[in-house]
Amino acid sequence: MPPIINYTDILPLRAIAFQLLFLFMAIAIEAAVLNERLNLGRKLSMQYAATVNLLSTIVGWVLLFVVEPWLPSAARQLLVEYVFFGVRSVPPTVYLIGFTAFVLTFALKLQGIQFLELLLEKNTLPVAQEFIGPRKFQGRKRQLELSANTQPNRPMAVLWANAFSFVAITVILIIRVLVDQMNPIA
Amino acid sequence: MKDLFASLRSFLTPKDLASWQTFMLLSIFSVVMGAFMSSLAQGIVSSFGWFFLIVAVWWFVYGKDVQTALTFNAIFTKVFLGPWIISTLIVLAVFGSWNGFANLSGVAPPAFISIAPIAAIIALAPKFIKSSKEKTPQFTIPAIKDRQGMVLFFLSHLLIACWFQFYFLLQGWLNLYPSLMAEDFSRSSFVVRIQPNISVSRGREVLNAAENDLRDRLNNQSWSAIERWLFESKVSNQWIIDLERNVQSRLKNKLGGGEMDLWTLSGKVDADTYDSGAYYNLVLNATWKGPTASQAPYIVSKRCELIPKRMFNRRTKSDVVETKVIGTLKCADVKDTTSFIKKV
Repeated sequence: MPPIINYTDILPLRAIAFQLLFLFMAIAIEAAVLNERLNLGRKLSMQYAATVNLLSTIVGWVLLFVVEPWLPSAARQLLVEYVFFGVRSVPPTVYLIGFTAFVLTFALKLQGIQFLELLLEKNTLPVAQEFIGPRKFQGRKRQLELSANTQPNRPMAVLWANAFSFVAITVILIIRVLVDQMNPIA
Repeated sequence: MKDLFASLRSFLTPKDLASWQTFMLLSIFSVVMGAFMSSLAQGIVSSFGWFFLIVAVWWFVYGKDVQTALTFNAIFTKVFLGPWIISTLIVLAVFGSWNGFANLSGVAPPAFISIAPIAAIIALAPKFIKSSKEKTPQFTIPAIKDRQGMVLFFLSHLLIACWFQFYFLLQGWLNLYPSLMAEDFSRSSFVVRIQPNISVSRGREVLNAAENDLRDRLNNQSWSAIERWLFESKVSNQWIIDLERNVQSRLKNKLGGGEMDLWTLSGKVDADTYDSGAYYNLVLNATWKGPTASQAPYIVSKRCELIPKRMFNRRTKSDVVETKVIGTLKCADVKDTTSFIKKV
């Protein structure tokens, strides 16, 4: 077998740092949205958000590892450029990939919550959620309305949660690219 | 020294027949016995040695004091290093060899990737085991209240495994395009370089290969043939196309041959300043068209001279000295790549 590790001084530490940042952001945002829309309670919505976000992150990585060997040379070069030199040009395909990622993570998160509840042997309908945790002052009225009307719409809640976290991450990425463009290339 | 041995001995003496020291001693015994054996038996005995070592360490790290000593406070949860130690040992036993351990070449990527998931499985295993009064452990499904934590725990370890795999993906890319190592990674959102950049672009290697190819073709040819070749090279650029093809086939099978498509060669032949025909200048340019930090291709150049050389040759039993003019190729080395690089 040829040597596989020749360049030990290149470490993906920034990738790990950004990944952790985005994960914590996404979990916090999605937990807030799930809590607001599904009345799950803080702890439970935090756990759900953490689980589905970890799951979708891992699935995303695995997808990358599976797809990468089949990439055409030009696409791989663009990927290498992004990874090693930062994002400078965004061809339309990347937007398409971003949108696909959004749809896929939405489906995955919805499915993931279902699996999780199956695993935890939970009722799919949240009942008696009033007891979990003190609720905020203005939340009570709205919550009464909600429970009077219909049961909470879970796909909509997950869609909103996903949308919020994607927007937040995209904003950070845009800021990063803009800051990068302000420094001239040496 | 005596105290050290005494303390080591008391540390390793089993307090009980069923204790980790028993297994540790069995492991040491296997290693000692294995040292005297032929290779086949050695393999079997050494795998027993690994097995006993793993059991001993497993037992040891789950001991009460050791467990608290190896548990650290992370931000959200406590991290117990015991499973990681056991998992590393298992991976070494299964995949590893100590050859080239320092530069990590003895351990394959699958080994590194599987450390984290195996550690998670080891850490979660006790939840699947019910100890009953009959003292035979039984398989059990984890309690409902534990399951959420277990899922998060396992997923986070899988994420760490993904990071390891990403590291190997980066290694693969750098093997494919070694010239990337000459670049500046400071704008990357993914990687950091922990040592200062000392690598050079492979443009120099490409140009040296081109020089060797040209030398094979031109050296010891008669000067008139060379001049004809030079004349033709001014008319058509077929020679540089041939040269590029030869260089690519020369370097394709070497390390980093995958990036050879991204190097293009160009060249130009000039007569000397006074066009005297005394010698010819040859400039070879290698252009890197792959990804760069500056987003523009760059050129590495090499300057060569073709000089006529008069060869004297006297046949035996002949008074006439034959002279023959042949060409020689002299090239300057691309010493410091950075000074020769010019941005396009």
